[in-house]
This record gives sequence, structure tokens and C-alpha cells, in this order.
Amino acid sequence: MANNYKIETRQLAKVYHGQQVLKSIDFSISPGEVKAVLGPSGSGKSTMLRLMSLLEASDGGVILLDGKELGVEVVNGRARPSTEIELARQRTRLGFVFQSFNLFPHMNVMENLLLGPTAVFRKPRKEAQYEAEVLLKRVGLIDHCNKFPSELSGGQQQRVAIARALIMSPEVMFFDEPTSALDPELVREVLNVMEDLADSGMTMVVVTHETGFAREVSDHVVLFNEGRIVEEATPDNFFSADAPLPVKQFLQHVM
Amino acid sequence: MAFDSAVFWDALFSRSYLNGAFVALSLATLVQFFAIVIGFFLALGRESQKTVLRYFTSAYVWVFRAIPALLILILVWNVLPQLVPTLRSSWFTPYMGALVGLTLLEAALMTEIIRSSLRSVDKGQKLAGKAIGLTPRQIYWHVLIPQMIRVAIPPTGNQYINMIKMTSLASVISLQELLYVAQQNVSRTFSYMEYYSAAAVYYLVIVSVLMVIQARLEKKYMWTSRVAPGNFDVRNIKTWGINNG
Ligand SMILES: Nc1ncnc2c1ncn2[C@@H]1O[C@H](COP(=O)(O)OP(=O)(O)OP(=O)(O)O)[C@@H](O)[C@H]1O
Ligand SMILES: [Mg+2]
Repeated sequence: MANNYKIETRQLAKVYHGQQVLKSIDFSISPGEVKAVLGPSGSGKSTMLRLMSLLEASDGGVILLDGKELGVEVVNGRARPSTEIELARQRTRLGFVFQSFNLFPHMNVMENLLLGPTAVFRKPRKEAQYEAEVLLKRVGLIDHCNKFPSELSGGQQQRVAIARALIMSPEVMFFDEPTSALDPELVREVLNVMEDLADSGMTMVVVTHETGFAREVSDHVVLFNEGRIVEEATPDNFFSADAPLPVKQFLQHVM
Repeated sequence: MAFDSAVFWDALFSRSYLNGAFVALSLATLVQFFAIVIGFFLALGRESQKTVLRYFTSAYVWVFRAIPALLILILVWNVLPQLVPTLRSSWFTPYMGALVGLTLLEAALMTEIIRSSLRSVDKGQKLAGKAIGLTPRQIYWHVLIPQMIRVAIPPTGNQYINMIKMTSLASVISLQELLYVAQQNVSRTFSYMEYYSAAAVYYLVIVSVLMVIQARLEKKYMWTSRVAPGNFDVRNIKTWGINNG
């Protein structure tokens, strides 16, 4: 028990329609670490992310944040499952960035950022607005704060989405293929923001097809296949000539 | 038979016509309001995980979509008081009867509109709300309902306008709405043209005003920072289209 992982899963499992999509996943990440998750389509990468970020319930196993189990409340020494409202509170500690951005289309950029702090934390608007401005400057979009998502490019939308997650001060950030929906020329601006975030010490789990990002920014690379983690290595070893066979086979496919 | 414009103008500005128009407009507005509220909860029931709720709400929608409005009104007015004795008192006026009957019907239709509007909101929206820590109720209030409204405005506007016209059916339970007033005048004087066209003018005016309000609302829900007339975003066309569904 005496490890100091930021977030950790033990025997995490998920079944869809009788099909075991995640098979006993043990995944752990230290504070400030960046892990890239690679793997073929349908291997369960997104599923693991949705489970770890509490967006979806697991069918087995546990998730620990700072060594404390998520989704469980201990009252008078007895454990019970968290209610939806308690789960919502736990989710504020976990940020999620989607492949398809999922900005709120009926709100402008500023309102997209303000909703979380004002509705969830009941922060005064002024205070939240100040934090939003700091974050929008950081992702280079302060000049666009009155625009609606439909008026932004994909790269800009994804940067807003990252700021919207960051304004909740999450302790871990999950990225599910954050650049896969972008035109190639817009990928860089999003990766730059993510690199900046990694440099600032954020704990990050990044599902990606960008082997360049995995190689240069991540501390560890994890390979998924058919609902299991089949390999974990430092980028240097992962992308080296004498990597294990499954890694080589996978990399041959994507490169 | 010549058109007697004096009779027409008298009718148009008569107290009974104004009254009838007010009855039609207020009744339709109340019906639409209650139907939206009830329809919202029925729509949630239709999408519920609980089988009992799903069956109950589907049965409701099925029954009230099948029965003609006229028959519902007659049943509510003539049969319901026999089953529910408290309705045999003076407060159960034709207006109340029409309000109950038309709301029962309209709620079923609104259920389907609201349900498909809720479904049209991208699945990722709920996830995004969850991810920033909103509770299920906050997700509905801040994320899903505003987006649902945009999709629901055109079909709901149609329903409302239809409801204005449907209130005329309540003349069978002797509600003194526009058509009823016109009919009474006609049966007294046999001046069909004058009295009925005066009634038609009222419907035209009411419906035109509602159409303007609907257009304004639709514009308000365009979600762009600069909304210029004619600056129509092609990306919106898909959701607009379900109007005809
Ligand atoms: N909501 C769901 N309902 C049913 N099956 C699902 C659901 N989500 C995922 N699956 C199935 O689970 C398996 C793993 O899916 P997942 O999305 O986690 O894969 P992935 O590794 O993220 O793939 P990709 O690279 O294509 O995004 C797939 O077979 C998929 O069809
Ligand atoms: Mg995926």
C-alpha cells in the first residue's frame, strides 16, 4: 500500500454486451508523470480513460487517487458506493480532454470556462473570470473569449477545452486522442499546450497516435492490446531497435 | 349576398370577439405551457432505465396520440365528471374542461418532440458536463436543456400555432372561444361571410405574431457572436430539419 502513486488502478475490468473490453488492468502513474497510451483501435484505451476519470462505472477492480479509493465513501468505518453527487465532486479532481472537444456550443469561450467554477465550486463570477483570463492567455486564446465554439478552428477549440478542464484545478489530466480530429497543420498548437502543461508538472495520461509526442514528452509508454497492457517502457526503450516483438509489430502498423 | 362591411367591422371590434380571442390565446398558451412541463418529465420517463416508467409513459403517449382531440374533449367534458364526482361542481367550466383535455393531448405530442430534441444533443455534451464535475441536474439545466430548446423551438412553435386553432374545437363543449362566438352570431343573423371572416382575421393576427416571436427565438439560439440577418450558419441546417419529422 505504501506507494505514492498519484492515481492507480487495480484489476480494473469492463464488460460491454458480454464482451470483456478491459481485462484486469493495473495502471499506475506517479505525481507529475506523463504516460502515453498506445494501442490498436478497439483495444480499450478510451474505455480505461473513461473508467479512470469516473465518466463511466467499472465492472470490477478499484481506482485509487492518492491511495484513496474513488467511487466509495467510508462512513463510520463502513464503505458504501458514492452517490452521483459525490461522484461529481470527485470528478472535479480529474480533468478530461475529448477527441471531439465537446465544448458547449451554446456558450462562448469565456462562459465555457466559467460554468465549472461557478456552478460546481460556487465561485464568484469575478474571481472565476480572472482565472479564466489567466488560462486563456496561457493557451493563447485571450482574444477569442467572446467567440462561440462554431467560430473557432479545431485547434483553438481543443485549446479552449484544455483550459476548461484546467480551470477546475484537476490533479490528473486525461487526454483521449486530443489531436486525432484535427487537420494536420493544427496538431502542433495543441501539442505545444500539452507540452507546456507537462513541463509545469501536471500528471497526465495521454492516449495518442502521435508517436512523436510519446517519444519526446512522455516519461513512460504503455501499449494496449485486446483489453490488456502488453508492454510498458520508457520512450527510449519503447522506440528502440530491440523493443519486444508486440511493440515492433504495433509500430510497424502505425508508422 | 353582398358583404356588409359594417357588420364585419362591428364584429371585429366587438367585445365578444375580443373576449373569444382572449379565451383562445390564453387557453392555447396555458395548454402549451403545461404540456411542455409535463412532456419534459414524460420524455425523461420514456428514456428512463426503469422499465415501469418506460411502459407507463409509452402507453400514455400511445393513447393520446391515437384519440382525436374532439373525442378527448367530449370525454373530459361529459364522461370524466361521472367518474370523478368533484368535477361536478361549478369551477369545472368549459374552459377548465378544454384546458384539461387539450393538455392531456398536447403533453403526449410534446413528449415526443422533447424526447427527440434531447436525443439530438450530442452524447459528448453530457460527458463534458460530467467531466467538469456537474451533477446530473446541473448537466440538464446548463448543458442539455439549452441545446434541446434550440432543436425544439420550430416543432414547438408549430404545436403552439396548431393549438391556437385547436381551441376552436372546444366550441363543442360550449367554450365561448372565437369560433363559438362567430357561430352564435351567424345562427342569429345568417351573415356567414362577415362573422366568419372576422374570426379568421383574429386567427391570422394571432398566428402572425406568434410566427414573428418564433423567428426571433430561433435567431437568439444561433449561438454566434455576430448574428446578422441572412447570415445563416449551414452547420445548423441539420438540426433545423427535424421540424418536419
Ligand atoms: N459504449 C460502448 N458500448 C458498447 N461497446 C463499447 C462501448 N465503448 C466501447 N465499446 C467497445 O469496447 C471496445 C474497446 O473500445 P475503446 O473505445 O476503448 O477502444 P480504443 O482503444 O479507444 O479504440 P480507438 O483507437 O478506436 O479509439 C471496442 O470493441 C468497442 O466496440
Ligand atoms: Mg478511443
